[in-house]
Amino acid sequence: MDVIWPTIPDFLVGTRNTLFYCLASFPIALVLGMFLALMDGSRIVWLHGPARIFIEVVRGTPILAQIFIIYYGLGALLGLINPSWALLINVWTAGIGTLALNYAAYEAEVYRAGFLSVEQGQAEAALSLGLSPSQNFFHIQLPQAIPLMIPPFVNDFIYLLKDSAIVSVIAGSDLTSVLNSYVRTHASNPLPFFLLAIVLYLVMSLPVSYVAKRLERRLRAAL
Amino acid sequence: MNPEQNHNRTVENASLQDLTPIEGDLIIRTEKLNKYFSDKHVLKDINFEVKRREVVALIGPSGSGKSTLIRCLNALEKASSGDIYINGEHLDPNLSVKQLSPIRRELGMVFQNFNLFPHMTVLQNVIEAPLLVRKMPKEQAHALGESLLAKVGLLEKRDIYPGRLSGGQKQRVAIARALAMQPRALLFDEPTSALDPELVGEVLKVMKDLAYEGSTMVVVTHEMQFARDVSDRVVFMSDGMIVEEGDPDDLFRHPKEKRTQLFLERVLSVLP
Ligand SMILES: Nc1ncnc2c1ncn2[C@@H]1O[C@H](COP(=O)(O)OP(=O)(O)OP(=O)(O)O)[C@@H](O)[C@H]1O
Ligand SMILES: [Mg+2]
Repeated sequence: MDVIWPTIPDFLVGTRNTLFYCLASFPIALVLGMFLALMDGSRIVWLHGPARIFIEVVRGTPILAQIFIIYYGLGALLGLINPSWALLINVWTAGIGTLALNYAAYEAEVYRAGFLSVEQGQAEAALSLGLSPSQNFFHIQLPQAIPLMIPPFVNDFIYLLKDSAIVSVIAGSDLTSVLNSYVRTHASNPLPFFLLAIVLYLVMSLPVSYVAKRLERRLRAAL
Repeated sequence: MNPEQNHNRTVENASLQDLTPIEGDLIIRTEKLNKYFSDKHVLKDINFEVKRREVVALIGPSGSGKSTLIRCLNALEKASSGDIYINGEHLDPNLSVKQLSPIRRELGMVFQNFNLFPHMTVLQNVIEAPLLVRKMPKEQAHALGESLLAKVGLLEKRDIYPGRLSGGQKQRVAIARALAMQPRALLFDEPTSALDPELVGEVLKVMKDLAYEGSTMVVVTHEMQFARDVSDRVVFMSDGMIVEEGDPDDLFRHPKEKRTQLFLERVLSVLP
């Protein structure tokens, strides 16, 4: 226990940083994901095609590779264009960017499934009443799809809390990065640090799980 | 057309309003309408007309193309060839959804499965389109919605969500919702087929009232008694074609075509 106490402030900072990565990247993922889903659902090939390719590439490649490509590859590329642009890519922007792009691909599928589960007849009723496509989208489709999408969004956020550990590979100063540094310096007995990190991850994810469960029950009761 | 001879509703309600369909005032007209689903020929050279104040019953065996026909009228299906005119306006298949909107509003659609908006109360269901599409002021829309709900006997359900209504009540709300856009004609696609038998009557009653008020209606139905009592004209479809049409009493009593006879024998065997 004695070795643990003095490290707790560092671990708390790591926890805060992990939360920051997640809270910054998830809203971006939700917005990007919606655009991706809209593009994917479009009949216009040059909207549909790129969206589909993006989703498949992101889902089909390891996030580890993605973060390296963005941190080193994109940084170098921007540096070639304009040396000062290379500074745009640091562990924070690369970490948040990777998580946001990665999760956008997954959230796009959640949107897609949500809109698909609104009955076809709803759009027919709306259009036959003379509603425009955007009125149909905002007044009929979206309000029915959102309650269906909330549980999977919350679930994905829990996955993101764990997946955000990936930023430790570029020393992103998140909870896992802090853990790594202590494991390295206490190689003979790293177990307490692992336990501490696990507890802190659970402290973040359990409340979210709890809220998700309750939301799901409420939404199911409303149907 | 001689009103005395051919429809009961004129005779019963002559005092209310003249219900004779107006010659030459065509709300709906199709010319050589064809529809294919991939290579399946579902509508074959359909020439179909509905006059103002006319009530047309569309009958025929399953798969004959009745739904497809009325869905084409509302551009829910795209015609493959031929022309559709709604109140004289050409329903061009190349129009965008936005351009279609003003033509679509001319026809109110009532679906077999109601398709009420589950996230809105009964009143909101009825006034959503007047508010959004006709840009009606809120108070006026509320008054309109309430009067229509009163008309279908559901004013006391105004603040309830559709999920808590019976099938018959849902369909009556759907009718009120269609009426709220003050369409020139109402299209019904088997409005009572999804209902428990004991709930059919309340919906038919509302439709009968509309007919007696002089509404223009096209009703796809398996309710032969309703077709006989309420419609001005029965159109029998089979295999994507209009096989026979005419005055309900004539058509039910003396069908000319073999296919009509067979169909009527089958469905009327359950009637007195
Ligand atoms: N979206 C579609 N895609 C392919 N085929 C279709 C589609 N909609 C209808 N059809 C086919 O078109 C034909 C006519 O169907 P339609 O629904 O118009 O018949 P109906 O007369 O309304 O029958 P019912 O009394 O069963 O409702 C049927 O053979 C049906 O299988
Ligand atoms: Mg049908």
